[in-house]
Amino acid sequence: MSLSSVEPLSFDPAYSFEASQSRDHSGAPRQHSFNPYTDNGGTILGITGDDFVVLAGDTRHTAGYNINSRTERKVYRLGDNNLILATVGFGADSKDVAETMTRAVNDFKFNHNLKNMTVNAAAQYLFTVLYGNRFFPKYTHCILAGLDKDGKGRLYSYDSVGSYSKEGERRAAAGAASSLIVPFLDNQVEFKNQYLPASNGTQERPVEDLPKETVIKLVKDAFTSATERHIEVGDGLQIITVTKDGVFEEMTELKKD
Amino acid sequence: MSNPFSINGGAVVAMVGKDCVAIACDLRLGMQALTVSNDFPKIFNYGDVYLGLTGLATDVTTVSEMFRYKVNMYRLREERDIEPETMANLVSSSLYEKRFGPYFVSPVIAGINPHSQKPFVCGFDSIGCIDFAKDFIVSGTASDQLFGTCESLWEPDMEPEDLFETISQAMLNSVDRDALSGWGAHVYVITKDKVVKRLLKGRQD
Amino acid sequence: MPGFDFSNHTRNAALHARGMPLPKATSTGTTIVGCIYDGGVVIAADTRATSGPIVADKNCEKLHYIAPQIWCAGAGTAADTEFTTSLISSSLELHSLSTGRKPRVVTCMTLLKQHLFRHQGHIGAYLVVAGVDPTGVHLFTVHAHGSTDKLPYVTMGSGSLAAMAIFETMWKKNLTREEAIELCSQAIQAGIFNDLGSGSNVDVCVITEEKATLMRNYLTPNERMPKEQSYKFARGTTAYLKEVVIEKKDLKKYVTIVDLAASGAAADSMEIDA
Repeated sequence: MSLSSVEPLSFDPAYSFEASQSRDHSGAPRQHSFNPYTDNGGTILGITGDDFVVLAGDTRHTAGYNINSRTERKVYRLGDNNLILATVGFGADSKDVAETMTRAVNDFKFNHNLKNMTVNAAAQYLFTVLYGNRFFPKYTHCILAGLDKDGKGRLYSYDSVGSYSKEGERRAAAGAASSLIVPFLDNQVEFKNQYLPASNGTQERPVEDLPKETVIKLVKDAFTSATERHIEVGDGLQIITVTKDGVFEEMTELKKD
Repeated sequence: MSNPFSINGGAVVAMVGKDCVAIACDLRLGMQALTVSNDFPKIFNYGDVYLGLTGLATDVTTVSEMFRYKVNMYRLREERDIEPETMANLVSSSLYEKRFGPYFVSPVIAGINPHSQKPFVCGFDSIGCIDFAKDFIVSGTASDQLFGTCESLWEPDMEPEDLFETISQAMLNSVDRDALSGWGAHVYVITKDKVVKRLLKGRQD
Repeated sequence: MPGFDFSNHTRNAALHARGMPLPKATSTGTTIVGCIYDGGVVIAADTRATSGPIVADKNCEKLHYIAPQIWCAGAGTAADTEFTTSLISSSLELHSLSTGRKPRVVTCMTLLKQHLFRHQGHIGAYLVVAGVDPTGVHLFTVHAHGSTDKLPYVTMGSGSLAAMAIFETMWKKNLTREEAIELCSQAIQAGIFNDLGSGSNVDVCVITEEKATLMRNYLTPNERMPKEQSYKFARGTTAYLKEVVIEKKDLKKYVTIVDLAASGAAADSMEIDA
């Protein structure tokens, strides 16, 4: 403990420690701060078909350049319904939203004479959960999927404050590598920019529902490509499929570097 | 004031095929959200070497003219055309010379070496670090989207007609997801005895 | 004129003062290591180059040649490591011709540190310099601000902690050549799998008294599995509005012989652009 070295003519009280700078290099007052959010990386993807939905997510959980876990799931089954939810962004908020939704779906069943919550009701409920935190948002992007009462696949994607479209979408991706995956899906699911070869650029290739096996292949290729080019994607791939026969989960490996 | 690489927008991609290379660019020139021109090509050729440039449009123009001068001087001194590998080193040194006041461009080179007939592509960052790739190079505001599409759609040893389809689909779908690129595209498919340049039909928004 | 050209500096500084962020150059993320063994030195590096969170180059070369028996691994800004090492390599070769002796690792280290210190850390080059010269086997690290360390084993880059964990567990004095290569490649693999900034393959260079051996892609633990399906498009899928075909033979078809003595003006003009 020593006094600041040479200040004989100063009339300031002599502190026993060196005062830290009260202004930073640009002259602004230095402030302490706590950032409540962290980006934990990861990517999720969802595609619907005529009578099925597929939600996939990688299993890597990161913070900066470090890997926290190689086996952290992002796709959840809500209760024992045919509803699945994938969340990505800030790990703690993502998990919290998923748990809130699981509780809501289970409570619905108890409160409504064992009737299952429909996918559009769950979609609206998730919107209320996210918008309820409008002034301290859950830093997470969600994709909710399931089969509606006609057995058709439905997919809803959300931003961090709950914006979603009531009709749903055919496909959605979110997370670190979403910008890499979305244009690939535009081309391979919606057949954008593809014309019938014989028509000389006049007739667009018609959009049709894809069979489940093709969709799974697209999902795997989308993720292997994203893993190659994005450092926060990799380790493992979790794919959950919902058909009228039930909910199936598949885990495959992704590159670990 | 924002990132100089995303004021004007633009996208360039180059791919390697079987004894051929292809290079494509979008045609948009903008000032943030406003589109100023839909005919601003970003690919320039110096003999058989094709150079694509994205980034700040004024630097795209300056750098393309600067290399036109340097390649012409090379031609006068050496009495022969410049080869793609040599051009790559010329671009790299010229950019690193401006290390502490760089040009805001991300160049891409594509060409077939006239002696070895080997297809060649490479990319650079704004200070001249060369990225030699054996598959593809992407650059511009749509680079993330281009990385995703190219990584999935590209496969080795594609014939020129198939390479044209793949590079065009990769370019069109990527720029459709980028607000600052698009408004049409030029694609050059380069083989050892001819070059085919096509104007793609794309979304005009 | 040789050296750096600062003519864009004023323009860029003015733009930055108005709030424009400076561009991010390709950085190598990286894990690089060096290790002395009984008879020489081994250096190794990963092969991933990143630009932010995106992998720009999956197989870049981070082991740079400086002299026949002096090699250097580089982390930091990729363009800086590339050009700094090639600049010092040329200087060292000229120096070696001037002295008439084989170049020494300390000379290389001194040239590097004086160059980097002169630029006060703005050249982002973090290097592991290794080599064998008439005075013996040497291994140094050089930091961007110009500091150097002389050590028997070193790691640098974002994956340096992962790699050093391996070294601190398994390094011992008087390793054999095979043990040193194995140790270095394991250290790089620790970086590849546990650091997001490093990845892809392992490059190794072994330098002994007689020669240096570069083993490019010594290990490739990250090959991509074949894709689930081919995405080749049917020909004619893409719509195009115009097509121009330039045949090579057309470009050089016409040769006109003009008698220069007759036309004075024509002699001065010269068609340059193709």
